[in-house]
Amino acid sequence: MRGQYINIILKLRYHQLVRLLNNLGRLRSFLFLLFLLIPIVIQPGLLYELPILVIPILHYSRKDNRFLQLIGIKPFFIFSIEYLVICIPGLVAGLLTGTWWAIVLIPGAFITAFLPSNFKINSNRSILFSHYNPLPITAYEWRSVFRRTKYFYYFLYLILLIAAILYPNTLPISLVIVGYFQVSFYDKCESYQFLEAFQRGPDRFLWYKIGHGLFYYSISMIPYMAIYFLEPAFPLYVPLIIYAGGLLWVVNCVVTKYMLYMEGKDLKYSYAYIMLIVLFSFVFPIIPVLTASWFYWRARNRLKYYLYAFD
Amino acid sequence: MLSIKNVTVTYDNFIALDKISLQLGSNCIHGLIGQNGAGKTTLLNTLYGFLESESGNITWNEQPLITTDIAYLPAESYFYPMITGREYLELICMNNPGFDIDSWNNLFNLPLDNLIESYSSGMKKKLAVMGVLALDRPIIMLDEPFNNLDIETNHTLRAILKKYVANGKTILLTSHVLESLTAICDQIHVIENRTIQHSFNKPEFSEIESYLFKKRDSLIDKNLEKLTK
Repeated sequence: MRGQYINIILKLRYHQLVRLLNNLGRLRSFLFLLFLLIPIVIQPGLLYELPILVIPILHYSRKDNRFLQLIGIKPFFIFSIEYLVICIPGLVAGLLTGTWWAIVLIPGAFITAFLPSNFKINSNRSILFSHYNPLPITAYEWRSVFRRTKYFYYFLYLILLIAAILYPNTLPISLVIVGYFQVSFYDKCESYQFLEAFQRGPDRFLWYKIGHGLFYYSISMIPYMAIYFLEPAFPLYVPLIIYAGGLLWVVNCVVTKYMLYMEGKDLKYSYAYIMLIVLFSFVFPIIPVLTASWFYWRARNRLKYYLYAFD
Repeated sequence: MLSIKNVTVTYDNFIALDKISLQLGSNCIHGLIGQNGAGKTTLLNTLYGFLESESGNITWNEQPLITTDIAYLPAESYFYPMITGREYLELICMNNPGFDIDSWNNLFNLPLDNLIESYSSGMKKKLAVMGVLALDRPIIMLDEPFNNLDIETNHTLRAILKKYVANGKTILLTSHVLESLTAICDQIHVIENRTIQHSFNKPEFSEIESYLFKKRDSLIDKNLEKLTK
């Protein structure tokens, strides 16, 4: 029976991928695969580093845990098989290039599959900051994430901050992780009445959202930057470049959300877009600037359907 | 017989179900009615094992209830993106290869070879209902099954449930629309203040409305007078 499950789930995943590429069209699919392959060809190490980033994000955004239980399949079983399949290219590359540490992907896949895939939502009682929340209601995406993930984001933030204080060399990676987690803040779409309640017109609305995102991102970066200035472990440009890169991520997150906006829905592909942008930005730093402007234009056009009042 | 005895469920110091007791006989369709937030879905989630009970016990034919006894349709169903209705049902039918997808689809008329994304909300509901039927388990729990369904499918679903009950299954439905339950149920249980307050048998169904609205009416009258001055 387990063999049949593996077979049917992997077949489903394969069909999903083929349909996704079909939906994108031949040219876009080609570009998509090209965009994915170029950074890997330039930096082959990405093959075994990527699963470390991709699997936790996939796991954390899963919504099929209960569904699998309802149809009598153990989620851990399916999750671990899927994660192992994702690790195969990295494992093969690791073994071929003698990078033996790539073998940790195997226990990593099992451990991740074992972790809870979504955080329990207790919307009615004793949530952190339910009575006192330092964030204004206009920062509703941030509020929502803090509530959804309970202590997780604070915990991660503090752990990375402590790590940066104790070992200033970890500062860049801490900045990247904190910045990257903020991507997940923009994966849910609000109702269009909600949009209208805030601002009128797509341009004003987008700038309003971008401004908010940049402001809160900058606030969250202050302690990290302070650590650098107190104990400089790198040349000045290193944290500043990472901070600037983070600002671009935030702009990209906001515009990608509204480029793909579907009223009241969860965004399915925003992670993929942001992942590609991040991946590519390591190789061609101009990419996030270009995507931010291009996606801004597309987001503006999409919002025109929802926000009738034009600037 | 599905027996629920003194079941209490709490989360974060909030009592979601308070010493709930209920006997659900076989060959019967049971309805669960109550206000929004009264605890209907919490009860179903507890029966399925999604929520742990703090005290009390739940048994099925005097054995501890296990998830493989239950086919559960949550109010909001999950569908994998980019798969067809047929693939969805094939995945579920792994546990019940005897389920004839095409014959069952004659009752529901779904375009099974289309992607689920192209379905309307009513079609998605039908697909989820078919999925629950495909599991073929002795207890069927349906949370708001009639929401989004068209009149014909509503009628079909009622006929299916009646047939299933005649074949010995136990069915538990929830709804916030009384009429949808009185038309099909043999017993209706009112959940209020996080516990079962009253159970009505078929001959007593005409009393449910007055039972539910007696307190409410005086409250409405009192407040409306103030608000509409």
